[in-house]
Amino acid sequence: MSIAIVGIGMHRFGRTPGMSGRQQAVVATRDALADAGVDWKDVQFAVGGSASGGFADTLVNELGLTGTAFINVSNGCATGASALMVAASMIEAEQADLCVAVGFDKHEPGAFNADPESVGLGAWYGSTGLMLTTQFFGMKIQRYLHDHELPVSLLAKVSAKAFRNGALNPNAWRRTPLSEHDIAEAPMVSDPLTKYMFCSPGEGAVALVLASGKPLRVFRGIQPLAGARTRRQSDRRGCRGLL
Amino acid sequence: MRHSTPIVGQPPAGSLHQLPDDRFIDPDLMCDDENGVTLRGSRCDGCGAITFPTQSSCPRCAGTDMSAHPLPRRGTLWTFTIQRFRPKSPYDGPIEFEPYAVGYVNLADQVLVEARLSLRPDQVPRIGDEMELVFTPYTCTPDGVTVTTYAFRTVTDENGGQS
Repeated sequence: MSIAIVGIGMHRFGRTPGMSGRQQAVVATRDALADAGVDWKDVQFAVGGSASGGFADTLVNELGLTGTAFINVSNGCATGASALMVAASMIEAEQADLCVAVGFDKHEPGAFNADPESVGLGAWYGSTGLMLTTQFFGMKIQRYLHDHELPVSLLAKVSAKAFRNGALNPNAWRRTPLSEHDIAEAPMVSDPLTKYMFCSPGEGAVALVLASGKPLRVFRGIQPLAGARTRRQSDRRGCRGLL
Repeated sequence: MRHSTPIVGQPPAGSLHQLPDDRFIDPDLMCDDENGVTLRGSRCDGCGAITFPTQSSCPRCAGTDMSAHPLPRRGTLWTFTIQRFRPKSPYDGPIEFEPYAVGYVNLADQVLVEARLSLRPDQVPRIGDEMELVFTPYTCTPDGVTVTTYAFRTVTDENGGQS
């Protein structure tokens, strides 16, 4: 069974005042449909999710009440990838030939503040100030630098590369290159990570149109862009990313 | 009087072998062994895996027979960071925020325990430092009650260990 991504749409990442996460998802989905050369009414199955932007299935109100099944997924930072996995699996299982997968969000500025009891931890874990993704990443990289005998200066080098790439991408949030010096000297957030070494919670949306071999022949003779395969597993050490 | 957090650069408060009189953040985290109070872990009867906090089933072998297991009071620092900004709710530490240290302590290769670290003034923690369990105030309720939590500090000569 061949599965192909035949359309890609995106609402740029960053801050978009006055526009909800759902509205950004509608922009991304319409762009993806246009990119694939198909209409929403052709879509047989849709799947998507968001942590703080609302329910993906309610996008049908804007996209059209065509009767398409639309399933919500919620899987933290992997929500978009999980939607892709579900869509690909539906095609593989021959339940649909043309699917949409969409991920979107509109986070408040600043670090996440998850409820510890929602992941099976006591309330004390949040109230004493231990449940922060920023801390988790700081501690994880601290151990990584130690185990692999790497210099802290490497972190600014990695961030500078990311900012350099962002400057080339019109859909990126951060589009101004920053020097390693500026990154290293920025306010420390969670040692050894400074504020420019984090991917801040932000806003944006991405949608994909997936097709089986059958509609590939039907719709404009579209050539597959890439085979869709995703896998996710928890860290065997027992460490978990929080969001 | 408002207690500050266990600040980086402030001497730790804490007693070693009994719970303080202040309100403790969650009594279920602690238990007694022959030497006094320590962290309450659980141990899988089947494969020997140890957890903290306690669990009713084993994260390693999925067995459902877990026994109470008091954890060692000493271990080595496995990793650490400094919390530099005041977290949002549900954090309920003092409004006047002071940075605090957090780390994972390897307790006798049994389990990694995440905890606040109580550090001496200007102390820079190092991975591998020998650590010991303490109790430390971290906040004060609106009606003036001090709330304590567990933490680890480095073992020093003056309290009986290596520097």
